[in-house]
Amino acid sequence: MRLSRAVAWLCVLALGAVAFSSPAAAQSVNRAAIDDLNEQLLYVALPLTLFVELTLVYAIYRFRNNDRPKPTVDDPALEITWTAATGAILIFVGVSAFFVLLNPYITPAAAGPTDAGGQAADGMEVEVLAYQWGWEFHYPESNVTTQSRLVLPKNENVTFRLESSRVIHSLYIPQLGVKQDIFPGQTTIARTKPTQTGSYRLHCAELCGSGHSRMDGTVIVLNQSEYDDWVQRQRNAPSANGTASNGTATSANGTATSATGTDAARISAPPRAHAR
Amino acid sequence: MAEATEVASEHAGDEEEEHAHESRWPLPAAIGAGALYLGAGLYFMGQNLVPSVIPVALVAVGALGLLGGLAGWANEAFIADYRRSHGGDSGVLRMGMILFLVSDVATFSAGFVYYAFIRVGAWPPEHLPSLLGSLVIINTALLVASSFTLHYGHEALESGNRRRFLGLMGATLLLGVVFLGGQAYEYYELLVAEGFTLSTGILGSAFFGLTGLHGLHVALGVLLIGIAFGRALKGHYSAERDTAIQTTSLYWHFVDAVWIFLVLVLYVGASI
Amino acid sequence: MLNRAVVEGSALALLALGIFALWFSARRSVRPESDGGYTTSEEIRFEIDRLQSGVYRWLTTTNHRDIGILYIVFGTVAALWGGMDAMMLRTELVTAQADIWTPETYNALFTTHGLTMLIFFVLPVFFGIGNYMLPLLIGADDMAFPRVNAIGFWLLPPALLMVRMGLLVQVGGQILSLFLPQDTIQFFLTVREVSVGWTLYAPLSVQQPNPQIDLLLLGLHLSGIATTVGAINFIVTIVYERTEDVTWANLDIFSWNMLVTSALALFAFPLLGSALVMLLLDRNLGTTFFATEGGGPILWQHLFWFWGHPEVYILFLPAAGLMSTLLPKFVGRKLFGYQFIVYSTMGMGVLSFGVWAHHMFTSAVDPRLKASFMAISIAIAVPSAIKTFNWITTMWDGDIRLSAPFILCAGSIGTFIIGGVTGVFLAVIPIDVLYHGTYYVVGHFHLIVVGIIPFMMIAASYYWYPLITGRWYDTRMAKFQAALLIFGSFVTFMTLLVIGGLGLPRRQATYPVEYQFAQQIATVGAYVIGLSALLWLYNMLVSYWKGDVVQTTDPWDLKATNQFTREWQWFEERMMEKYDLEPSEPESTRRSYAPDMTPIGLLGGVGTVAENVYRNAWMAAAGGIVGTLLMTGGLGTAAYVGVLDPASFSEIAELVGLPATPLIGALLFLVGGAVTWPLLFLAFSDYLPGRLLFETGLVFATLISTGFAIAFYTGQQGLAFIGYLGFVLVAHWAYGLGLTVTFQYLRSRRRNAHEMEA
Ligand code: HEA
Ligand code: HEA
Ligand code: CUA
Ligand SMILES: [Cu+2]
Repeated sequence: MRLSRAVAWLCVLALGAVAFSSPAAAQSVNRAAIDDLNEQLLYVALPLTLFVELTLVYAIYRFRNNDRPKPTVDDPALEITWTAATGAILIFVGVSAFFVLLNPYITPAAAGPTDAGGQAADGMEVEVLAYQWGWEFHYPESNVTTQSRLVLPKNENVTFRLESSRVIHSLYIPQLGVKQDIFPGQTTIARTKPTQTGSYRLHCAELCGSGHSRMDGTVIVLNQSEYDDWVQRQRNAPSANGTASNGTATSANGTATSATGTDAARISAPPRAHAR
Repeated sequence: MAEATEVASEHAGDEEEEHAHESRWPLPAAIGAGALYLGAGLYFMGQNLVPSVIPVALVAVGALGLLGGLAGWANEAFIADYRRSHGGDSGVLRMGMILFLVSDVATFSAGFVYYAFIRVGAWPPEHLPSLLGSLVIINTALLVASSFTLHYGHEALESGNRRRFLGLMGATLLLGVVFLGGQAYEYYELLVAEGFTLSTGILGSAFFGLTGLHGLHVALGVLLIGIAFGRALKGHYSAERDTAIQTTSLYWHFVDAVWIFLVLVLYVGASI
Repeated sequence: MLNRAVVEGSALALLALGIFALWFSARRSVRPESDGGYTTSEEIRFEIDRLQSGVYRWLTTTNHRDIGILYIVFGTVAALWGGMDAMMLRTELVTAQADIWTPETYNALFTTHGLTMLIFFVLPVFFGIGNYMLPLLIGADDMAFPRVNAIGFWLLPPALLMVRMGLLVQVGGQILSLFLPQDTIQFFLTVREVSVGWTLYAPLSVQQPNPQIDLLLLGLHLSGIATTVGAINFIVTIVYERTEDVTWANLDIFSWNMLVTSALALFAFPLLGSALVMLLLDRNLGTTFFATEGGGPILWQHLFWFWGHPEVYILFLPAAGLMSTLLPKFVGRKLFGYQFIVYSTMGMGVLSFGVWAHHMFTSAVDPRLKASFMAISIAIAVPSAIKTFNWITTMWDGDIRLSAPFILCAGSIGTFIIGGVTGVFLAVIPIDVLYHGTYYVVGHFHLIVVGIIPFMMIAASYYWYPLITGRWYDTRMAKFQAALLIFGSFVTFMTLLVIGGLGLPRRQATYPVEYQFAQQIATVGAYVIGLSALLWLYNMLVSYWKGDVVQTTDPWDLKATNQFTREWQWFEERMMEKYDLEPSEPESTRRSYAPDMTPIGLLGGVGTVAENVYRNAWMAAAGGIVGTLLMTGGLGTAAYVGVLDPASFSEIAELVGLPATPLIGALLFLVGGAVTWPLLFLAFSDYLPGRLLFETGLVFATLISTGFAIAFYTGQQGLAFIGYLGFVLVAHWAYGLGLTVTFQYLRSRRRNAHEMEA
């Protein structure tokens, strides 16, 4: 009887805590899908966790120096109940996850066949070369190349074709919900569609040697017209293929400051000879 | 400090009690293994860092320590009191061997997984020597035959036919040694005549990795059978006291089975 | 920049020195022969003899209890070494820049920290506890293969030395460079601690020139052999060496866990061994196992995690076994659901081989394959949940003794729940895409690898301290230490969970400045953990000489609850033999297990609740409508004066999958207000605090108003915020009053109707 009383108590409390995270507007479709799922799962997980934790605390409080302890009585029905309940919750978790997994931004392969060398279904393409230790972004349509700075137009599908020169790296843009490992000798694909302009951080998320922690960069999402301007300027710039592109990107957008905030020298890693 | 004497006596008491449980051999065996590994590691580090005498000496000392320690342990555990004890723990030893073989499956599987990976990748490789030849067939026949000789040897022991037992054990030993010889000859052919080595393309790694690992197992098996044979000659073993024969057979049959699988997958598999 | 080798070398030397000083000073103060008086040469010779025989004994012993102690001491040394690495990691992270050690050194620190902890700390300690306790628990004389047992242990120290050779060689190099010219000690200047992460991912680990990697690989291989040997020994011991009355059905739960752990180790470690050798060959002999043109880097990841994931359960299961063993003793009730816990242990063992690719969700694995790994990874939460619920239910209706081991048990369950639930989030691929490679993962696993593994080891060390040493530890200090450890772990690893959730990548010596404050909190927490570890050590060392002598054969009063298990029976016999102690008699005994009674469990509870709901459904609806109408008045006013944003109602609609318009939302809200909440209230009103229906109604309304306030908060500030809260509360009270007044009225009418009939 006491058990169910505490259960009741905690249910009430847990229900109160159901509404927890206020949805922040996501910066890309990937991030939006992930955030939605995360929120959905939190609605289940948070009360559940709270419930179990509080039951634990309550049990300790209630039964500390208990005068009338009772012997253990096996209760297979109870065992089966909570096993089934956990199972049901987890099926819910699995099913909701599965549907998000079918999202072509989360699983690029679900977007349809993009055979090696072939064009992606729609939108623009960026070829990314990760090297020890820096990033090189090549825009094949406009034949522009930048270092450590990725400029994207808003509301446009982007497909990244990722290559690495020697070791494994991982392209990680937290705000856009993009993370994909990059293997040497193999092209991996990631997709996104930014939905907000702004300047975001880019990291390498796979240990790649002593320079791993400085292998970061900036992602700048611009309006389509600003983006076109930027591309135009890159084309005209005499050293479109060199390090100077950092400077030009900054001038294209006043908000684009160095994302690392610590030292600008970090993103001046020497460019590699093009792997292609 | 009223309890002082109490403590002293308590800790002293422990010591007396433990004297029954001691063995000199584990430590040298372990240190030997450590030295062996350290020597191998220093060898890989290259000569410009470590003068080559050091690794060589470490490996030699380590191997000596390891083998000596293991021999001492085996002697103490199984042989020294052979006459006195009556071998009641055959179940324990058999199970130990079976568990070891289970772990061995895992040891082999890493190499087979590599082979599976390259098979689904770019196949065939540039260097594909002709692996299937009369040598492999003969070697396979030898190894399979040795499994039979060992099995019937064991049966002979159980039915009390000592001479037959000894003969078949000797035959098994011989077959094992000849197999190893064949293996060495095959390596020689591949390495020298065909220029196919461990680092030749993607198949070299799989071939030498797997056959090398298997070869080590056969070598260990030959050693075990050799010891068993030696003990048999000294008059050990009987129908009731055949634990060592049981465990050795288990091991040998396992090595044999792995070989057949290896031939099917690697020798035959690479050719088709 | 500080020199890592010098700092860590001297810190460890200092620690070792401190330990020895403490040990000898504690010993001196209780041993009469060594304080005061003249030291004669005879006495010195006697001491040396004693030392010699002591050393000889420890080097040659094959006694399972001695080997157990050796394992535990070894594991503690590794814990302190790996803990030192951790403290240095946390120190580096105090500032956003890499200004204490270089990034390369930082990489080396977490690599050796991870490997030392996972391989040389956890399993050795559990093997130690297993060696000491398991034969006692199952009534065996010794382990099945005592000498092999000793070999297995003695392989570990050389393995640890090889893995950590980098540091030793560097320290050596620092000393030698004072006397010798550079080029003669090239070896000492080239070898550094390995810095490729504990996962040793190819091709980084193949390409890095640091020759120490070769030694590390071989050291790990050696330790793998030791582990396999130990695992075989445990399995055979449990299968063959039980005394007659220990059957599979009553085998104690710790032995069950050691059995499953050993079975996992038996298959996982040899595979790792082969993979390590393959990596070694790739580095040195030009093989192509993990080269791009051969098996590829992804093959290493498959092989590594095929070992790596079972490995984490190999570490977790013994801790879970200790929990199931210790918890009932401090609750005075037998373990709830023994059978189900055993099944869940086996279930975890089997499933753990089917989830490895969840560490590779962002690498190049086929999506369909990933989805199936996701499914199994989620499913593995079921056996963990079974364990957790059984532990909590064991505590229910018990008589809890708040001693240090119990505090640690409770803390472990608490952290494990959070660590486990975050694990389930990681198992969900889309979420893992965001969290992989961030501090979220670090937070997840530390809540388990710190939050239950060392916790349970320390709990066990307290629980069995009287049995092993015949003395009591300092119980007050132990309680304080336990609380400190739990507090420090929560602070450190919850913080890491949060910054990971915000997107901070792990394994980086530098990070954006805005994370600095959070990182500093985590560091303070880590120092607290470090402090508590030192307190534990102090307690163990000093109590060995100075603790209160155990004067009873039943130090934990286990006989009173019929839990005087085998290892304590062995202890009792020993105490009787040695000190002529009488077997202690409990003052009173009571049953801790009643297999014959019928449970009153949750189903019964649910049944009555359901019945309640059914009978009172119409009553609830009526009350709900009245209450909701009243509430709408309050909320409407709030919306009218502008402290509540009506648009926020649309989210309710969105949540259940309907179009996100405020109108539908408001409608749903009304339905909920008129149906769901009143039903819940009726179902649970018996359990709410307060005497009158009236009072409970107010309590209920206040509780649910917090949920409302959070859910509909749209960023109001200042006065608007206070107004918002006020209106929400008042509106809910109105609701609660509406509910209860209606109920009161309807009930009294029903009662009247009954009376009329009668
Ligand atoms: C002992 C250690 C241990 C244990 C027990 C676990 C348990 C679990 N782990 Fe964890 N894990 C690690 C150690 C451990 N892990 C380590 C070391 C890493 C990182 C390696 C590295 O990259 O360096 C890691 C990484 C890791 C990843 C990869 C993250 C990444 O790198 O991207 C994933 C993904 O699926 C994962 C999942 C899980 C799951 C689902 C469990 C489950 O078993 C948890 C189940 C438990 C519960 C769920 C809690 C109790 C249950 C309830 C209270 C019931 C109610 C709950 C629900 C219904 C959800 N773990
Ligand atoms: C069992 C495993 C274990 C344990 C106990 C710990 C303990 C700690 N860990 Fe660690 N950690 C790992 C396994 C572990 N860790 C792994 C696998 C990684 C990943 C490495 C990689 O990325 O490659 C990691 C990485 C890691 C990082 C991330 C580095 C990065 O990614 O940038 C950090 C940072 O804060 C950290 C901190 C700590 C701290 C402060 C502790 C403190 O809790 C330490 C304090 C010390 C103790 C808690 C030990 C106390 C125990 C005893 C004194 C002995 C008791 C013994 C008996 C009873 C016999 N760890
Ligand atoms: Cu590139 Cu880390
Ligand atoms: Cu895992």
